[in-house]
Amino acid sequence: MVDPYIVAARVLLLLLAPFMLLTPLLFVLLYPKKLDSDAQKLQARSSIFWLGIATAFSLALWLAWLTASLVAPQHPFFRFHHFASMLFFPLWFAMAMPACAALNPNAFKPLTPGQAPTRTASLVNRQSQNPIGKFHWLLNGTVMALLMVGIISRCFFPFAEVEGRSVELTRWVISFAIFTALCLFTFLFFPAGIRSMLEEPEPLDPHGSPELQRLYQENRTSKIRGMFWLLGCAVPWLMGIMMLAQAWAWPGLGTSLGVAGAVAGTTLGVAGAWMGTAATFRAMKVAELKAKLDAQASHPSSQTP
Amino acid sequence: MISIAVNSQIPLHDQLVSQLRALIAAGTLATGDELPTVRQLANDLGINQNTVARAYRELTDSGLLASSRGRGTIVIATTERAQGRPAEERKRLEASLSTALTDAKIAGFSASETRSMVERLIESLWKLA
Repeated sequence: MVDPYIVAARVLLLLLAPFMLLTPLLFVLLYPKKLDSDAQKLQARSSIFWLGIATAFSLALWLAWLTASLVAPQHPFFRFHHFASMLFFPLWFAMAMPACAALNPNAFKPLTPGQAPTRTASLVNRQSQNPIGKFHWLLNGTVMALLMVGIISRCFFPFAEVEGRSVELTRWVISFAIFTALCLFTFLFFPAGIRSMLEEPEPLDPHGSPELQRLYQENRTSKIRGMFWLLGCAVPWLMGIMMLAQAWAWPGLGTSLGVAGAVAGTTLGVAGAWMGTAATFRAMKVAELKAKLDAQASHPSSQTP
Repeated sequence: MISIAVNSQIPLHDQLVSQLRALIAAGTLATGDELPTVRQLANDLGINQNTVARAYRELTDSGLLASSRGRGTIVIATTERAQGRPAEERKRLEASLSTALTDAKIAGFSASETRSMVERLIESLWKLA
């Protein structure tokens, strides 16, 4: 009898490569165009054309690999046709991202003062606008402390030994070491990381547009909150729970822990990807507005009365 | 808000000092207001942190700013500590005014135009309007 999970896994592996290879091109085709000149339109068309060629070539490579796996299944190399999905990375970073920049040049301008002859900055101290307050750290600290107490309290019970060695003790030491390192990172380095995020460059247009300042603040606040709750809380809490379970090594819990860890880890990964993508789009919106305001300031006659 | 012109002949830290002094004199920056950190302002303006630090230090020496633990740099006064005796201060200010008025005359401004300009500035800084 064929295991349905194995069939499902094989189907997913079969679809993985074409899905990943087509994603950069589809993304670029759906990306909103904001082009001002014919030169920009030409550049954008050229980028999309070459991305299309590269995508077709990658798909052809995958198909050849897949065909070889069907014709000569005894060769182990041909069985890994899904590794063609790795071509996603050069397609995405080397071709799709530049194509998106060609489709909307203003959105990809770096948010630094650059070489502008006149530079404007806000005099609001952004450290006082830190969205993460003492209460957030207290909550995080309380949860981490409880998890640490749970891990340490294992020491009050004897560790089983087999032929003079204790696997349980080794497991406990590893759990304790990993969680201690996480606590140190969370409370020693992460706050400094958040403070430096508050000081990232936020150059204003020459007139100090309130809308631009508002967008900067929204972008910064969302980014810091997301980093805190995901990297500062969710990841260490999840790891803490896994280390706690590992330290106590309850019998029969291994498989369930594995599945729970995989689901939670995947969820956090997806959440991180969503956060990162949302942050990128917000930053692009800021860059677009700044470019528009800078252009208006340098060509005042082009402003609508 | 503060603006600098990187291509100006006036050194950057002088631009920062004069603008911050003007903001304090106009009341835009009041006693107790926190200024951005050196790193934040330097990053936003795209200039060296030492330039900003030097400007802050100059204003701290003149008694307008102070560094407060946990709060960064704050405005502590709206009048500067006197550099010397009152008579010397008066002489120094008269020399600065003389230079500015000479510039106005050389630029072709009439006495009445210059007087209006000065009165407008006095009204704005001393909030007489």
